[in-house]
Amino acid sequence: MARWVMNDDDITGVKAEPRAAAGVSFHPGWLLRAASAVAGVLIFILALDLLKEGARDYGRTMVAFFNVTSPVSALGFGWLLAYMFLSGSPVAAIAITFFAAGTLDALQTFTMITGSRLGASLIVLVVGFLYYLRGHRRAASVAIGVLALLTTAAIYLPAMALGYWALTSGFVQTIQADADTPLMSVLDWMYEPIMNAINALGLPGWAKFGAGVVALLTAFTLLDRALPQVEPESNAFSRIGRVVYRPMVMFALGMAVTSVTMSVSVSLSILVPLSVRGLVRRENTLPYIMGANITTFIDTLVAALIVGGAAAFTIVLVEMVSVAILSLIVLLFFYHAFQRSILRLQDAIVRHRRTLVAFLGVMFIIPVILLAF
Amino acid sequence: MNLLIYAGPGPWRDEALATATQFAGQVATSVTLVTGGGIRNAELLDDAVARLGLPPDVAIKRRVVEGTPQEAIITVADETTYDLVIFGRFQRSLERLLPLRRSDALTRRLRSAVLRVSGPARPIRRILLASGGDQHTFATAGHAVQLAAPLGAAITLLHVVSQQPIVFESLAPLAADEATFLKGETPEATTLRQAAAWLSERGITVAIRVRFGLVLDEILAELDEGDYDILAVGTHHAAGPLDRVLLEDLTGDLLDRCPRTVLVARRILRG
Repeated sequence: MARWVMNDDDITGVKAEPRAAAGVSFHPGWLLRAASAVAGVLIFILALDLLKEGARDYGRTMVAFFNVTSPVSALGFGWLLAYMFLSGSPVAAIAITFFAAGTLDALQTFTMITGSRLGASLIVLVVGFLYYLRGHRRAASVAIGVLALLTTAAIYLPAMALGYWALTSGFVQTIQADADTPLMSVLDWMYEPIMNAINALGLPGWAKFGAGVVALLTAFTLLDRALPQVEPESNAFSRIGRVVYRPMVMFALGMAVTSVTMSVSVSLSILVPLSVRGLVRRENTLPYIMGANITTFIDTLVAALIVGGAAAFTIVLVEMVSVAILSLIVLLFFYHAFQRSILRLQDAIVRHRRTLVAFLGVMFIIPVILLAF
Repeated sequence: MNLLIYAGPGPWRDEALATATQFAGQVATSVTLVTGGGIRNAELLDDAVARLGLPPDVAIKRRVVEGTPQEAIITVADETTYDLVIFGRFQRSLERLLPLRRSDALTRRLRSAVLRVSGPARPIRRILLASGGDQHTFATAGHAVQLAAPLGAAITLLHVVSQQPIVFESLAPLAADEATFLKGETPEATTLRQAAAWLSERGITVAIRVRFGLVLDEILAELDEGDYDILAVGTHHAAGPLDRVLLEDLTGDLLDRCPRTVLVARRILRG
């Protein structure tokens, strides 16, 4: 059986098993997965509260240490943090809590979330490679990792410009809402006693922030465990390695799968059991990644709703809509040229070890340079 | 072979007739010439008969139909079974830019194999057969050999490897170069070797090419670099309504983008 036990952008632990029943199975382990899902959600919300409390006390110190003073430096900050956390979703959630705590402004939050996605896509490559070296033979291939990064950069960077315009031109009005008034709900009633108890301990801000990070990573691990098992045979996409699906179909599939997994790399790992031989056609992967790159924001959207209120929700929504608009424009009007360019670039990068190493080097240097702005 | 040739007005009429002339006399047992636009185009059929120069033992029928060329071809093709339907490209250059004007609409509607003529007429000496590496390759080869054999044309089997591993160590590692791929035991390599042997047995000069990249781009690149005269492809294998929604119609895309004559194989040949 295929099993996923991983962080948000960690593709390791994937085991392809070609023989199994069709569709999504619900064997006796479903109870464990349901419990993982409930625990994951509860810890996720607690993590957000801890991060917000920690960010209120410690966030300014952290932001000052990294010299995050502009949207550009926030982009580099989010990018680097994604490297540190080996994942993008926790960093996007941290950006939201920084915004909720008043540490970052709307634009900085927006670009930090963009940075988190750019960093996370490289993690598909780096973590996959590290785990491969450690003997996990099913880690994400270099080619797919590079493709994920190139596709993300090619869509997110122009989308960032579109989102930046939307947030600064007054086109999106709700950004003016008060960031300190998150949506009130039963969640506040549930978590207030817990947070009061933690505050009564007198922990410093950095300890609460650290506990929040640990809780967040734990929550994502639990949510990954809760994913249903995808079985390879007799589903509409079982020929993903042999036939070419319509780009719009793969785009929709990427969106649908990632709306459940909430992680691009986990969604990529789901292709492994779909493809009996562990191979997927080039034509099928790129639109899948494009779709996955949109719905991967769903957990950030939820986080924004819980801790940041309408203003934070708007920031994430602008990001999501900008990426969706850019993706649809590419798919409808320039898809073949886009596909050709990205895949040629991917081939050029992975063809030689030295070009791959140079590419990785550049990807590590760019966010550091951005921090200086 | 029972041939249906569109001989009415159209942008590539002359080229279609010139192409058909190369082999119709050798392979045809009967030829039906059709035109749309009604009786005013009837004389175009007489002109076509003169140009084709068919032997006297080949039965010739003339059919004049009201309506567009496409309607005329479909009307006559539905009346009986043809082995091959030949017509020139109906799309003009600027129409190809319109996304909804697909040039495969007629090809998809027909039940017979199709020779869609496009570009300047040229002697058929080299046929490029695009193979997906599956059993449909033999259907396409069967149609291609019917043109290649009488003309002494060579056939090159082309397979494009567009797969890439999702994980570091895929279950079936990809060969990185043509020679290694062809020596391998993958189903695609086996099919290519078998198809080449099958064609050789029929006296055809065969070559195999393997390219790596996007299917559409690599087929068109090989067609151009190898200076082939005809591209032979299988029909779109949509097994049902769901497949029609999910799967990309590569045959349709090739018909849209290919600047040369395309042979679209229709079904598995028996015997």
